Amino acid sequence: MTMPARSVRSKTSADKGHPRIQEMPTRPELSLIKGTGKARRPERGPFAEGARRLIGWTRTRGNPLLRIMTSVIFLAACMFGSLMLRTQMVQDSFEATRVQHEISNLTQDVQDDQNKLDQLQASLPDKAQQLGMQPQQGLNSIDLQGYKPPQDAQSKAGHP
Amino acid sequence: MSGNGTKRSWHLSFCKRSLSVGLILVLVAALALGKLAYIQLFDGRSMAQAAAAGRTVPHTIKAQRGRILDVNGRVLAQSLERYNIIGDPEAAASFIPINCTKRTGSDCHSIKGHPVGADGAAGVARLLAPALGMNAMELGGKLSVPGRYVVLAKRVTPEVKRSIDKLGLQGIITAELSSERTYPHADLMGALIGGIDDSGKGVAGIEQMENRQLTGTDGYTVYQQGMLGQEIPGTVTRQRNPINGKDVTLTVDQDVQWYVRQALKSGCQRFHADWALAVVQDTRTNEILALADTDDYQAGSDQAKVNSSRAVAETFEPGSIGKTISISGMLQEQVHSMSDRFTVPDHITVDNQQYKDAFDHPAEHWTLAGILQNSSNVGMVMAGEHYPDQKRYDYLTRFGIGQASALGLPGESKGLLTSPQTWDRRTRNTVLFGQGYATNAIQLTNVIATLANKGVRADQTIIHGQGAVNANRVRVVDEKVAATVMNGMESVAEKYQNTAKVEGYRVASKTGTAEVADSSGGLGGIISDWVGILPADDPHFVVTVVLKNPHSSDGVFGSITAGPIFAQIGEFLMQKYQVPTSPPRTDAIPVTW
Repeated sequence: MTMPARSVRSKTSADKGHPRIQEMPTRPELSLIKGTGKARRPERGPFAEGARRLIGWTRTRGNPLLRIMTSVIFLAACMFGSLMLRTQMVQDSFEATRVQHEISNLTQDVQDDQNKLDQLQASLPDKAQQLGMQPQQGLNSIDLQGYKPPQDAQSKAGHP
Repeated sequence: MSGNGTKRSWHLSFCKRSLSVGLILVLVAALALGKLAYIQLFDGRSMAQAAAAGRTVPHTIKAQRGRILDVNGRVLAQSLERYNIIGDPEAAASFIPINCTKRTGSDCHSIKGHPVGADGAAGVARLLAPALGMNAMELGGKLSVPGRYVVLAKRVTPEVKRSIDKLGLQGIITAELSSERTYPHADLMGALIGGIDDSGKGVAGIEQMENRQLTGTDGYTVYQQGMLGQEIPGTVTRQRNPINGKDVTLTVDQDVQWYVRQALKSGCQRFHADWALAVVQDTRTNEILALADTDDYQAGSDQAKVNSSRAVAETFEPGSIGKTISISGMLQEQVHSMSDRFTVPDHITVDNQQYKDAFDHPAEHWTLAGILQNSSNVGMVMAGEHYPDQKRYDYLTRFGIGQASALGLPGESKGLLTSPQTWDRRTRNTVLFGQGYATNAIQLTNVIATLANKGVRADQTIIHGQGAVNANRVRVVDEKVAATVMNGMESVAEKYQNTAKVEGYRVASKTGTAEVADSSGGLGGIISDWVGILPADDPHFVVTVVLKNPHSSDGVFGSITAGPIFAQIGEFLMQKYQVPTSPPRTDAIPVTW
């Protein structure tokens, strides 16, 4: 007892790129079509129907083949670009690893050189002494207050 | 007809057999295709994940241990990146060198332009030996063991590792990142700096004391690795950078440390002493500027790890330096004043115990300042007649005797101070002149620094910027008492101006000599020491010098042996830190009457 599906469709053609002589009155009118969808097209498969619709759609456009080609080219370019970017990314990743490795080597070299420098600096006092240099000892300033060490302290010198 | 029939039946049979074989092959191909389709279409993701998981491994990124610096930022200890060279004996056994030709280019093996001349482990060893500076036979032996992992060399430099990388032994020889602790100053303060163990943990000295600060937190990175263990770029999935350890800056000045050590070494040589040590403390901040001894332990060596700095590890009776504590207590408790008069013989008997001075003399008219100046044991026993045992103990404790210092150095001995209840008739009097208890050089330095700090004792520190400067300040004696004792100590320094004078500066000193146990267990050893504040009128530094078993034709007293070393160090300090010269002394307390 199910009711047949209904659909309302305009009878005007969407194919504006290819106008044809109208036998019917040009004024659009709506009419009720009974038994649409599967009921109307039981003899065609879904692929055929899809293809038919696609072809139908392309006929409604001014230059459908060009647009499809453009879309395909665009998609292909996207895919190619993506592939290129990915390849470049991997290439850059290799380059980054190489640079990082170089930085690591340079850091190690700096560390070693700094260590050598520290060792040389540490050995400076000993080397200076070996060359006969002596650290400054004794008073090296001028006593402007007339300081004199007590004389009697020396005479009292003794040991516990 | 029969021949044609036979031929036809043979053709039919051949066709059937061929068809059968063909069908079997098609079936196998179909199965293989089916499996491939199943793997690619249905099981592809899990297979890829499993493969990626197999290649993905976590790698630890070692954190660098922090540096140890002196107060001027000069490096005393630092870590450098090094590599452990690892061999794969199994892979080495199958090594076949590629002789160099025009076609191979640089992808070949040669030793100084000559063919390797051997396969297997021997060939690897021949290639590797020059880079590692090892014997090829020894190296070949190491590579000829079963297994896939053998350590060929430890802590080689990055330069060596890079030269190994160029040998074309990938897959056979690998390198693991390691580190090496280096000490540019070697033996300048070996036991003080200490060392680390193989795991990088500090096990002695500053390395142990500041291990927590110096140790960083390891990081990691998770990435897919290639067949030879190399990172496949762009495959890092997780990463945490390591946090390197923090630097530790000491209050020790490398220049002062070097000079003090030189002075100790020359003094030790001059007086034929077993060893010598010295402490230099800044009285205004209580920071240790030098903690030197004559030991030649290389920092990081086993000796440096098992021995501690003598300044904290060696304990000894302070001898006459202990008189400063007793006199401080007597003045603070108002038992005596510094100008109190005594007639002091060279020996005295109290409770059937005889006490003698270090030298013979007739009965002298000395004040308490004179007793300190002449370092009279008899005078101290006489002065201590009304000074209770508990007070003697209390003041020793207040000055820090018998307690570990705040430095926290590993191996520090807190000395020995027993309670007054355990003192016998002799000990209760010997503690008055620095015998019957033991201390170390750090404690002794802080005793005198307390007097220099106007009677206030504060924690010492050897770590710069740790916030311990002038921490835990405790008033031990009144400012006036400290000044009076320092006045008496100035008289001591004036007495020894011929041996321990710091030209242009007033010095407050005390000398000490004590018998200590020798290797046989008897009291055959001698400790000669000297502690001084300089300048006395505006204290900047306290310097302690201690010698063990000095020998001199003039005697072994601290004034003769340790005194000149003190003066030498004092002159250097005054010159280095440009301390203004002292005005003449005008307030000397009489030492005789």
